Amino acid sequence: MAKKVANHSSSSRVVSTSNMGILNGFQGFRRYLFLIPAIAVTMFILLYTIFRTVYLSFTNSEGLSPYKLIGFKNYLHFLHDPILIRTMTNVGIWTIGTLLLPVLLGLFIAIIANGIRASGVYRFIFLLPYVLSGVAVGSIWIWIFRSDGILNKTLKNFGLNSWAHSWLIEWPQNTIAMIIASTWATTGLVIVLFTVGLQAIPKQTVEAGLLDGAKGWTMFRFILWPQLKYIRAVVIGTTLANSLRTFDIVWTMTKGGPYQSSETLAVSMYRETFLINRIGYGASISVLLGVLVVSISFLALRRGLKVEK
Amino acid sequence: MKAKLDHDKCHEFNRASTKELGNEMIDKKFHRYTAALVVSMASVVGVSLLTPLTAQAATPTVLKIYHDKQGWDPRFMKISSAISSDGVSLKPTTFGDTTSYQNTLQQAVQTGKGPDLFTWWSGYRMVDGAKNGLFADISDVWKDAIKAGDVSPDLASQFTVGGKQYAIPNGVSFWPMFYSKTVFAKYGLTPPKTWADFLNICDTLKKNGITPLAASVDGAWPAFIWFEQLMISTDPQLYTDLMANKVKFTDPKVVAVFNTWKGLIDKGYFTPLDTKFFGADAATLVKAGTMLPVGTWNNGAFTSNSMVGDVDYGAFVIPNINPALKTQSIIVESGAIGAFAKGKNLAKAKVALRAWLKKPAQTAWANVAADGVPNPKVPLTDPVLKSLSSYVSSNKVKLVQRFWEAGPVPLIEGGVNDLGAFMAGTKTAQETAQALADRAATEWAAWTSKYGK
Repeated sequence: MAKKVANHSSSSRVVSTSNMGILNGFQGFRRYLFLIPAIAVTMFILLYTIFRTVYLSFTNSEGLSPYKLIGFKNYLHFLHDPILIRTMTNVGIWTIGTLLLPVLLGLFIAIIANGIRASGVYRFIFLLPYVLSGVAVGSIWIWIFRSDGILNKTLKNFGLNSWAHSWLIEWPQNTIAMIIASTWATTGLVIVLFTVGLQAIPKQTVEAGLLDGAKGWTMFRFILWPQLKYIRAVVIGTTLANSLRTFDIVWTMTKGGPYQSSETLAVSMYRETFLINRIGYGASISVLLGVLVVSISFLALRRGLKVEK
Repeated sequence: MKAKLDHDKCHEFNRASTKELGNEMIDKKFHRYTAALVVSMASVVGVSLLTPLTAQAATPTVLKIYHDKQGWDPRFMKISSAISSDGVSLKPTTFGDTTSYQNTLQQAVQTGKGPDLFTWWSGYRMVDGAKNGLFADISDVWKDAIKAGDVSPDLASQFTVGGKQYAIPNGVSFWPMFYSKTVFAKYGLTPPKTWADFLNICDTLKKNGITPLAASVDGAWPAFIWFEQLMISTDPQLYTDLMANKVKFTDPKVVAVFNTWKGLIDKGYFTPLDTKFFGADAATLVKAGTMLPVGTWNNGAFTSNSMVGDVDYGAFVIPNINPALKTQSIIVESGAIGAFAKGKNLAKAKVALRAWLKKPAQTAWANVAADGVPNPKVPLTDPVLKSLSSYVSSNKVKLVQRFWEAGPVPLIEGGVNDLGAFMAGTKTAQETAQALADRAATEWAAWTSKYGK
């Protein structure tokens, strides 16, 4: 009898545990139900817009009038568009320029500032322009680079009349001028990222290097540079992505002009889509830009973050 | 124990009876309030039903008007006051960015939700909207306004698509040359009567360290200003035919105009190409002595920047380059006010447009904008505008449509880039003409296949 009671008690405990398991399973499943609205909204906002853009890129949509599918015509048209060469050249200049200026300058300043007193204040000063929007940065620098702007006036005041230029009118000065403006705005973030990287280097590694007689360039080349590998990959990856899709500074300072000379891919996309209303054609540039940004950033990050065996 | 129970029961009874009594009182109060509310509501409904319809009409229908013109709200409010006697008033909404403004209205066509009225551009720029449900057909408004003499029938063509009118003009702006009377007086100059006079003025100003002529490609579109001006000063019919695709840009006469332009560029007559052209910048330029070819819609910017019309500054019609031409020509520009085809107050919007063209509203607009208006009955009060308008009518100056509205949008938007390249010296006259001709061939073919001839 006592055994029976014990069995009964044991089986009821088993049933109870199993019920709990089902209940837990259900609750576990139910938990995910609460995620559905968030996932649905995210999917709609992210994926629908991407799919819609890709779809539109295969149409001849021009805004108000009805449109139809036209296959790859938009893509083929863009490949034959005379502006493609200029646009891609500008994107190339932007890429090289932003890799050379903000990245190298940021790295240099981060290393210099790393050891000095009140380095935080120093970094903060450089970081300040980063909080400004691209439009604000463009608006500030347009007053510097305009023909009657601060730069030309200063040059003329020093008797350097021949140095004064129409910086925003002539190519490639206009693109270079805008890269300088962008450098002013973005170097601060690069400094912060590299500072984080520098501070993460173990002291022992640096001390071991010092004991071996490494200093200056040798210290940088053989100790700091390899140790900054991962942060470098992040900086280069984000810089590449930003330079490829440059829009706001260009739009504010030159609107891609004059005569489309300073246009980038993003500006071409905007002009075709919103000024000329060639929505389908603009969408095809948008897709190409997206593919370019994702693939180059992916390759850069993959290469930079590769773990050596 | 029993006493306690009795006391409890008694207390319970008292509590219950108090509760019932309270409920009863609440019920009574509730009924009283409900009755009062019903009576009040009935009175309100009754009063509103009994109110004469004329009293209701005293409250005008508020019409939403969207626009992208910075600082134009006072103009719309003046119009609103002037048309309120017709039972309509305006509530303007400004869009800071023209592109987002255009997108908003395009989306309005898809969703059906939008303003009652909106500003747009005339000519080719309104064709797409007229054909695809943005603009309501307001031919009846035009018919009545022309009959009443409230608008010149000559203006109708700029607002006509497929034989129907889709918008009214929001003003009539001439494009003369603004100049500083003070600087002209200083160097003994007077407004030119011939092209030689004009070149002499340019030379005199240049010798005195003043850049004679304003030119710009800032924002791309100002590149067309000198092209259209030199075209109409040389051969206005050639310009009209060119814009109607009856003549090619590579026509030797068109190339000759580019060469004339190049001659002026080479003489160093023009300001740097990133010069700001409008608003306060325009006043600064003219104060410094530079002559500025711009629409009279900018006239208000001079007066609001401490310049007195006909004292500090004036405006003249640019003389003909070709002496064989019997009359001068001037560019004329009219913005558009349309009624949203899917607007919920469409009938009232048409009432507003009818009233808009009448003398009270047009007078209000002319005074606040210091610009020309389409109603010929309105007397102009601005001295510069008055003398310019008088010159145009007494000398039978030919009115020519502006480049910006005179062709398919992709041709115009691309064309200004070709013209900008020419101004910057990166393309020769022949190369620019060829680029424009190629563009025209492509865009006119696309236009014809979409809308027919």
